[in-house]
Amino acid sequence: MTDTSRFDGTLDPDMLSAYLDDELTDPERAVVETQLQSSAEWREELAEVRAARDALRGLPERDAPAGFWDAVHARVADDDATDDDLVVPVTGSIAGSITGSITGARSHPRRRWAWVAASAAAVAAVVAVVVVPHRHEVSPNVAAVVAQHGAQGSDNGDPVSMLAPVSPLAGFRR
Amino acid sequence: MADGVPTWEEVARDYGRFLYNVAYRLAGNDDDAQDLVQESLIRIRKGLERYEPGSLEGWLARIVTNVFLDEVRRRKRRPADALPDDPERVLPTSPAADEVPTGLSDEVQRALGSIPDDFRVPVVLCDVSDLSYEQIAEATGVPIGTVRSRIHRGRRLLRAALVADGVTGP
Repeated sequence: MTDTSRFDGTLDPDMLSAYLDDELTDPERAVVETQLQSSAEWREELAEVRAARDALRGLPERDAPAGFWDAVHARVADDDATDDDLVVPVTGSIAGSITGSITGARSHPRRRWAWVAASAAAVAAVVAVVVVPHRHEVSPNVAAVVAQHGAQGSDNGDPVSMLAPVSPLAGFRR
Repeated sequence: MADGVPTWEEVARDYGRFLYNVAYRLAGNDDDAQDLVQESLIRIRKGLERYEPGSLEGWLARIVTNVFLDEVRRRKRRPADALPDDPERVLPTSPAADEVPTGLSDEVQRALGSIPDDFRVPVVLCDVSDLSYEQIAEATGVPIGTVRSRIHRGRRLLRAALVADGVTGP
């Protein structure tokens, strides 16, 4: 109920909705009822706002589509899990590029950044497994081995000996 | 529920329909209502630690209202986010194409969607959420006198929109 101490007796049509909603103080209510008895204009306005109020209050309850609650439970749990680990502000072109539904514009970026982070981790793992081993020195140099092989094989004129080294190659250990 | 503070699961189970109805009447379509509810439940989950037992429905209505108003502000800052072929989506004036017509309620929802946010929000909180003026003032952060004025003006705008749409009955 509205604060009584501020009522100075001034009539205001805004009081009509508060009258319907039982949000007037006793002095206010008395003044409004007196006014309603004498003013057709006030009665007409009261009927208008009552009709609007009744129309809204008469609306049926709206049910969410089937499956929505299961989905929202999963999404909220997902957000709860990812939010602790990754908080990235959505700004600039990234936010500007996002269109569509309401939280799609809020929660999807989080997932996109999670994907970016996961992708980066995956790339780093691949680099570690595939590229890094190639950085070990290959000894001996393959071209040098072939050249040495060919030279030694041709020295004795035996084509078969060209298939195997005739002496330990530099860089190999026995 | 411990010490009057519900768990998140209890809120989702017992007040999910309440949240959805407020969200739907504010947003005007199911897609946005679903997104509003989802975002609201995320905030509720994080906010329950700070919730002090009182009017739970008022607290929930404040959260869903804030989510709605945040989104309205965000879309106003970034007009490109509104779909080009759907300029009325922020303030919907017609039901989504895939919605099943439900008679007069569609007309009322359309009329409600035509009212500016400042008036629609308190009217929805009053007539859909059944909050008191004091609770609406807390939820929207405006003085109670402003709430009273906006509810009255909002209802008059709603009535005018209904009459313009040919709905003259209550």
